Amino acid sequence: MRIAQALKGALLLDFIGAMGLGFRYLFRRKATINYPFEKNPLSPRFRGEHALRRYANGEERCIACKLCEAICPAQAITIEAEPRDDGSRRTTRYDIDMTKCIYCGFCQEACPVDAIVEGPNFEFATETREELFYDKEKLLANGDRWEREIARNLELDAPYR
Amino acid sequence: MLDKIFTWWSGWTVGALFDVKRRSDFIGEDDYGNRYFQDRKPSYEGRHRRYVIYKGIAEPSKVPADWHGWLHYTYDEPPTERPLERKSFETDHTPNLTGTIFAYRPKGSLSREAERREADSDYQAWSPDA
Repeated sequence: MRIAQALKGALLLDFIGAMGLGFRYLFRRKATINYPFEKNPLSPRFRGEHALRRYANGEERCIACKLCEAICPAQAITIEAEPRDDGSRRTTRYDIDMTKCIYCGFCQEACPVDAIVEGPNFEFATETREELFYDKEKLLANGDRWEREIARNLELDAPYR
Repeated sequence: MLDKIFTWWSGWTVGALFDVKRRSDFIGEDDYGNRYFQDRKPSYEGRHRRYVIYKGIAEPSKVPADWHGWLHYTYDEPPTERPLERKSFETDHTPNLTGTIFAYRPKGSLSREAERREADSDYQAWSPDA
């Protein structure tokens, strides 16, 4: 018994076995993904870059109720509002400081008209800090670009809400 | 050709193209010339892996909203089978423009003419007592 064990040790059988195991993994499909040619799975609920949505006729949804501003735990949202010429209440300022935002999604939960949402985009890294101080214009532009996917994601998530 | 072998940002790499062509089917092409592929066999984690071969520089934010959800496995029908409904106000996709002169700048930035609006009176700026 002792001799067998000594031989096993001297011939480095454990090492060879481990190397063999490692070698087998060389031929398996890889668990890693080849970003940017391949991307990770995302849930329809994924909370990425913010966007302000519009109604189907192009009217902006936000009514400046300031619920998102109130609930925001990082106090990243700043809203100012006054009645528009036609008498409807709209924001004159809707700023999100994306450097403060913690992407908790409370703003989209609080919103009574589904105006502020966190879209599926997460590739919005910037070179300078000031580019992350989003204003209303930028948020609406995001909404106009991503609306088709945001709408599809909301539709997919609707049965679970 | 040399840039495809030695760099990863020029459209596709030789490795990516070899992998994609060998085991994937062509699914479709978006408005910007990026081409999309899906594996024939399920992979390691049980998904049919999906790939994009970019036209021009390999910049991940170039994937438009129509293909984004499919590429990220959020839903399985590619927009060639089930196109996403597009409303009249929607605009075309733009990639992340940071680092270019077209990058977004907030009002009041030194790189932009527009002036930042003063805050309303219910926000009070802090001033030191000293």
